[in-house]
Amino acid sequence: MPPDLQKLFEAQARWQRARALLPWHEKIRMAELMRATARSLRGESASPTVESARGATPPTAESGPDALARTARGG
Amino acid sequence: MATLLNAMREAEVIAEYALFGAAAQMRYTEAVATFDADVLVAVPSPQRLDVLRPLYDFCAQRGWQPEGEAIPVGAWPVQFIPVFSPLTREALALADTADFDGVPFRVVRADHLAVIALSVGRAKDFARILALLEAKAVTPESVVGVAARHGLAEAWTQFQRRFLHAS
Repeated sequence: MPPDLQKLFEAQARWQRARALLPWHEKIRMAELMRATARSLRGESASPTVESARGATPPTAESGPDALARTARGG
Repeated sequence: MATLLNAMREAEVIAEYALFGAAAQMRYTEAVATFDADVLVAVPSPQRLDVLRPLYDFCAQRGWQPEGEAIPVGAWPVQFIPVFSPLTREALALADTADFDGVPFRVVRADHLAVIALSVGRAKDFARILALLEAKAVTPESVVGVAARHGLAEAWTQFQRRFLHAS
């Protein structure tokens, strides 16, 4: 492998490993974004479960990337 | 979710809870894709046939209706799983109380997450163990003791041979 390419891969690996050091709630937000993206790729609505939960008592008015954090506070 | 679980415990609907699975893994590793949150629970009356009924009723009173195997709480479908083995009972008892953006949230320790994954043994469970090892959340030495205590020493040896090239 060319040395430049090797360095590029090593730098990428370091960057990816560094993401493990982010605060837990930030990583949960990233997972929510991944989930919303996967659902949109499948043609599903981004967060159907939130809508159904709202039907009984409107617990939260949002379904954005940091909804779990707000949920964690009891929203 | 944490507030709901803490309220359940205070109301003695559950004796204890701890997050596990992928959402718990992310406390220790980089973010991974997951569709739901798995919560281990100990209930006051485990001999009941409908052991989760009081939890479902508690959630329903607050507007969270079950959908299939999970209860959507905010943006997350939550799957409640009663402790089902000495391993999960120990994982629940020894779980950490983490800070989730200012909210106390009980979460299974990394070594128990790894051994629970080992006991389940799907490809994604092995990937979880490797992610925990790479993040240095666990070491082979920290896993082997828990694995041996729960009859999984041979499974751990096989895992090491297969993925860690141990002899």
